[in-house]
Amino acid sequence: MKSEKRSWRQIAGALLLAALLTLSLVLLTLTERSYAAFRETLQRFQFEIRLTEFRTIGPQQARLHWQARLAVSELKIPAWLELLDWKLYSADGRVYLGFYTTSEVQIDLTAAMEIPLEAQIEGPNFEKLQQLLQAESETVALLFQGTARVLFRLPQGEVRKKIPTVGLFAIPTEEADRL
Amino acid sequence: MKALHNLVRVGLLILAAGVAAGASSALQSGEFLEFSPVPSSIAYVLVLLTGFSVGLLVKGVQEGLLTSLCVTVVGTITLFLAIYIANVEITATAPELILRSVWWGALSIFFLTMIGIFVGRILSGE
Repeated sequence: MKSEKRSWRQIAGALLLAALLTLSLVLLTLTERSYAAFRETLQRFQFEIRLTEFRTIGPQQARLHWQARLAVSELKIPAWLELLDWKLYSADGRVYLGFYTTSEVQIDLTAAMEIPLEAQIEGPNFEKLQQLLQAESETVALLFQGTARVLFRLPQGEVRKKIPTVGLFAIPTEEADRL
Repeated sequence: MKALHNLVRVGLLILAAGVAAGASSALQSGEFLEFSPVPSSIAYVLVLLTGFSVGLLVKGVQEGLLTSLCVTVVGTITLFLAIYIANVEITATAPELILRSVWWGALSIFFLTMIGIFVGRILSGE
């Protein structure tokens, strides 16, 4: 009777251990895949910035429109853009042309999507831009240096990451002449 | 022949339980916690159950204690490799970054396996 009991316990123990071994390895594999997908997404996650419009809207005001294009072929982890703020500089980084932000937003990100950005340049920053345009005989290039705060939804919670965003763009000469 | 058979049995038991405990413990490590399909409490329960299954399979408390130590060693190696391989670009230059997770994992494997083995032995009527 005792031998039967021991045998039953041993079978139960062996089955339980085999099940636990399988389960833990499957869970670890799923976890590592999710982790690798996240790291891969983070490495490739970047915004490409393109100026779409530059328009003078007043005597000391100009409006700039950009498209921030998410350059990820496939987004394996659900992600939301919460905030994008940026600074404008002259191409060499010497002249600072102001700080701009989208403020708090909640944009559901998908692969290869475009997000419109807008900034109004005025006052002393506009004057600095004017000086830059007058000093340069050819096209004036500006530097867009920003940070995107992106929320990633993971299986056991949420993670916020700051993604650096850099772009160099030129002001169209016909618009620059109007300033 | 019986000694060899016993050695193989205990060796396989340690290997299977160590890998299961290490893999379960990796699920609650700081690196993987948010990526795991199960919460950390389930990971601890899995380690405890691994100890319990070992408790049903070992013969005597002394063998149980020895097995628990060996399971901890194998589990810690498994845990270390799981975190190390997933972060090889970082850990190859700074392995100390994962040592806290490995240290905590080793401690939890040891104590939970030990508790599980004791419960298994008690249920076995010892």
